[in-house]
Amino acid sequence: MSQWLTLVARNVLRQRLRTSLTLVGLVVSILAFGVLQTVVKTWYAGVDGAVPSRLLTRNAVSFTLPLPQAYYKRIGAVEGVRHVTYMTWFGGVYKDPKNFFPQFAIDAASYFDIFPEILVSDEVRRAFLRDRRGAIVGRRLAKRFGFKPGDVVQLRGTLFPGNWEFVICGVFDGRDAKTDTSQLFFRWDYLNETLRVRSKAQADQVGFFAVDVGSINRVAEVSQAIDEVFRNSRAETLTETERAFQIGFVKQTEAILISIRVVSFVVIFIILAVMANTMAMTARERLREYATLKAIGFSPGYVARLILGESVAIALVGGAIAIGLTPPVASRLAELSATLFPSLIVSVNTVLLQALSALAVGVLAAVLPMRQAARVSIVNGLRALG
Amino acid sequence: MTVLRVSDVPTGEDVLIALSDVSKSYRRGAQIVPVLSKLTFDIRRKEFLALMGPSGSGKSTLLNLIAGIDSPDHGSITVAGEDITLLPEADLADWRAANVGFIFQFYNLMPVLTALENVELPLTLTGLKRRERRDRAQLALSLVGLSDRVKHLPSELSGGQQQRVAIARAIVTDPTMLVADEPTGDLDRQSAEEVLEIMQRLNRDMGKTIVMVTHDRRAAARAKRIMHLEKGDLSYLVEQRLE
Repeated sequence: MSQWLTLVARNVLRQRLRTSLTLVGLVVSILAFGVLQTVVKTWYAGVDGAVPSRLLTRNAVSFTLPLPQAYYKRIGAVEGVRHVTYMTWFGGVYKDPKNFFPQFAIDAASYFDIFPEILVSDEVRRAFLRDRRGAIVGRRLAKRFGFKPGDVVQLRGTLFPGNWEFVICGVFDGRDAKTDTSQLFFRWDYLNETLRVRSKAQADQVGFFAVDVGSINRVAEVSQAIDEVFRNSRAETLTETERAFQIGFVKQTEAILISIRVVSFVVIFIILAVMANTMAMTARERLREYATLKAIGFSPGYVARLILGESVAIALVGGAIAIGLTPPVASRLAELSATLFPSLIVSVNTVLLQALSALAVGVLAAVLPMRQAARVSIVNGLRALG
Repeated sequence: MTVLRVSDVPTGEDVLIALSDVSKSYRRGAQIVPVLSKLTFDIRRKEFLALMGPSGSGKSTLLNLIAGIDSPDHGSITVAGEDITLLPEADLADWRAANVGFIFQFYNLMPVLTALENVELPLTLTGLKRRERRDRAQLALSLVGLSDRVKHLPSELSGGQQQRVAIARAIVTDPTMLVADEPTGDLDRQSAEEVLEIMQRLNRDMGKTIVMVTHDRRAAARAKRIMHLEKGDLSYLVEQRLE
């Protein structure tokens, strides 16, 4: 090992308590940065995972207003539409509002053709089609509440009155980690038949239509054609790509996302200030050593590199520990957040950003102490107290 | 720049260090405080010179100028024919590395390096291979009687032993000139005697030119010549030849 490396390595370990506390600060900051970046990225996961050739048709006034189910056949007849399905947001409460998870009433016959990322075995699909009260649950939701086939799940309606009972037919998986497996699907026809009895005004309506166009080139043309069909009707439609819909949805929470992003960078800035203070203190204490090195012939650049090496070494060790801890912490956070985040997967970009932040903190924190140590005269440095 | 080692200069010339009309002052706030005023004198090759004088007389400043770690406001300092006041900072660092060995009052060892590594430190500025550097550092430590302390950190050594490591560090590059600023100022009497004995031996047996600043009359008595500096003025410079 070169003398420079020896000096850097031993100087890092010299003030063990100070180095340890700085490391803890670095780890917490870069970990927090990584987790917050992952949260923001996950928030946009719906946008990233949107299928370009999939359209969503909703009420033109607001997505909270329903559309007549009778539109189903008319949409299906629009030229360019390959498949169409419909769904309704249910919004029920399972035992307690804190147990929130997404529930959709879907058309069992057509839904899975348009959403191939929902992986359902043929056996489960058959059971779902057989039982009008049947429901299928995602793997994560099943794990969370211990749901298994045959279980009866009761939901208390909030948008739709009364208590609703479903029989679990099976569990579905996601095609990839981006697929939300914290949802429950049940049959729209069961919802509709019950509403005809309990709340007639809400019957025969759906929340959205999902349309598969097949080719991305026809997306704009088909969207316009669908909306044209229902122009000047009592419930005009707005058809947009799934991505545009998701962006519109995410935009409602944009202020929160911006705040999270800002906080993540503020955290890095704070640790930069802490680290710079540590390095300045360290350099000030060692002025006499630096002066001695310069007196015996070492250049000011060598002295500056000693400080830089020490600062970068501490920052990179802290960064490496934080990067190692980010996936398990994000995963635990996803579990604790219940269904808020289907999964928190740390991306390669986030890891690179963390590594870059650690490096930047190490380099920037050393700038002023390096300048001070390199510029102090030998005579003044030798007079400094060690 | 090619660094000229003092030992490479033809030995026909008896004067090693020549100060001519050297003045130095410091700024203290708005005030300029003169420290050395128009000082002119020579130091001969293989000399052991003790610089004495009261605090503030400018003896440490004079030592710093001779060693090339400070520069005068006026005048020239010629070492082996080379005016070091004309050297740019980077060249001066190379010149110090090749020609000057430093011994400080508080040893100034790197606390994180062992005795051997401390002594080896100046050799990393040379092109020597690691093995050779280690051998030379071992030899320097054996010259000061610390062969059995090579792996000790400075904190594991007594003051006298630390100063001996510092002497080994100062001589490991085989400089002709050693500058020592109060080398026994932080030592008990016995350790001080041991350190002075080594310095005397380096001068007598190895021909090292030594310039030592000291308050201690007994330390100064080991030198071949004593100069008393008062108020930084040449008119107060008193020579006392002991040989």
